[in-house]
Amino acid sequence: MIETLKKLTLTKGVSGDEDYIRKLITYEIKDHVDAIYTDNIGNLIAFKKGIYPQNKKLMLAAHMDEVGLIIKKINDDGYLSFAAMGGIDKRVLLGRRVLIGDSGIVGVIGTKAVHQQSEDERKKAPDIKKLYIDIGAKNKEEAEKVVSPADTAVFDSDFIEFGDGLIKAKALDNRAGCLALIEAAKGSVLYDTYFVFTVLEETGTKGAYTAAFSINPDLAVVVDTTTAADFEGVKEHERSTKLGEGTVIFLIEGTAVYKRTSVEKIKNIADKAGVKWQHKNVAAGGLDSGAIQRTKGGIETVAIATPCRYLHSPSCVISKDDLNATVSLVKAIVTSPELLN
Amino acid sequence: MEFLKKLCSVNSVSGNEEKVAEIIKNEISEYVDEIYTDVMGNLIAVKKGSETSRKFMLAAHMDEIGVMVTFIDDKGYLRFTNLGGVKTDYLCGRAVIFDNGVKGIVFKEDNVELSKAKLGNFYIDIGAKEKKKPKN
Repeated sequence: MIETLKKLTLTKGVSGDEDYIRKLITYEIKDHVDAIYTDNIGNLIAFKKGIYPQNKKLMLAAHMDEVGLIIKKINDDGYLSFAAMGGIDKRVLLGRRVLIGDSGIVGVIGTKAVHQQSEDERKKAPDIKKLYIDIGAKNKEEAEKVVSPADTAVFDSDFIEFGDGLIKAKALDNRAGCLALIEAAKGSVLYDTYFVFTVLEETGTKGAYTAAFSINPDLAVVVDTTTAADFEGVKEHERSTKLGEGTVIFLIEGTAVYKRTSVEKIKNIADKAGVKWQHKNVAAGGLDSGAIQRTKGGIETVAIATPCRYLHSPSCVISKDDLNATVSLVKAIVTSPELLN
Repeated sequence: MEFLKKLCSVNSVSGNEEKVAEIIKNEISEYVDEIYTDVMGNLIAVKKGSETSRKFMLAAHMDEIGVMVTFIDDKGYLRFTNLGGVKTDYLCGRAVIFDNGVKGIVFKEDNVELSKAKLGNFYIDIGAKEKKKPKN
């Protein structure tokens, strides 16, 4: 399972440019499902027939896109101007190594040297417009041979296991969720189940709208990652979630207020399966839920997530125990007789 | 007026509208042709008109703003989040009541000025001695 997660995180899939990650997930899941297709916007949808004959539809949604960069312009001196795809904290950019385009051209993110900056500039993180990517090209002409505007770039960050059962990698948001869906697809399912790997979540939950509309399920379960702010200096009640405390079952976040009866159902399934869970104690962040919940005549939606430190940075950190809890809960959901009746 | 009082007295914080929906349903059902609740929880009452080719929709939200408990500290104080536009400037010293009838008072941490206080600086005191175990 960890090997699969490693492959998933190392594979490129910046919001709007999900071809590679879509191919990898297709490869990982295709032998375990009855049908697999890509919809018009790019969502990968894997369908598995349920054991139950009553035609209830369950949709599991994990976004497969990741935050990253997009090349805007190749400057005369060969440096690249770029913009962020998704919410990237500009403080994490400077000095990073990135991989650009399909061939993974290496670049580093730079700005002017410390001694050239004004007092004011030194005090704050430079604006993204003042940063550039250096690919070592002599000039614009040389740079144009290897990169083009609209190429996307990802952080060049390795996958490591460290400390007390933790994992560090890029794009754990949300390849951890993708992994949970792939693992759940390996077993049998009670309901007709749609495993949906959505696109464009990080840039406005766009894929979730169309997937929910075309599937129109009886219940949607969003599987994602969410902020853990469990460090020194953050008050206990503002820590959002904590690593090691289990998978997160949402009551509310930035895009949706969840129906209490639906949340209770998921909590009961978790308790029955012996899965450790926690609530998030800050009502912020954004998931595919809002898009799904407000599609058509409204779709019953719940959300679970693996807590993650330094979300949207090159070094996302999760706990293996929490990841296992998320995987176990998704497996328990697709095999729960109480889920849809 | 009696009915308005009834509507205003019930807890119907965003996402928890079942009770107010029930009250409205009881009041309106004898005047309409059909009544149902949709997936999101909207209460929809349909009354047939004499002009059958066109549809008219009247919408009034039945939820109200309120707060939701997000954290219980060891001393038994509650931290909370807003559901809807809850303003911090009128929170201090307010009495609140929960769905189960428990009452509490909202206070602010001492070391923060009211003008600078964020929602995270407020807590609810329900007079509890200590935190009870939330689950076993």
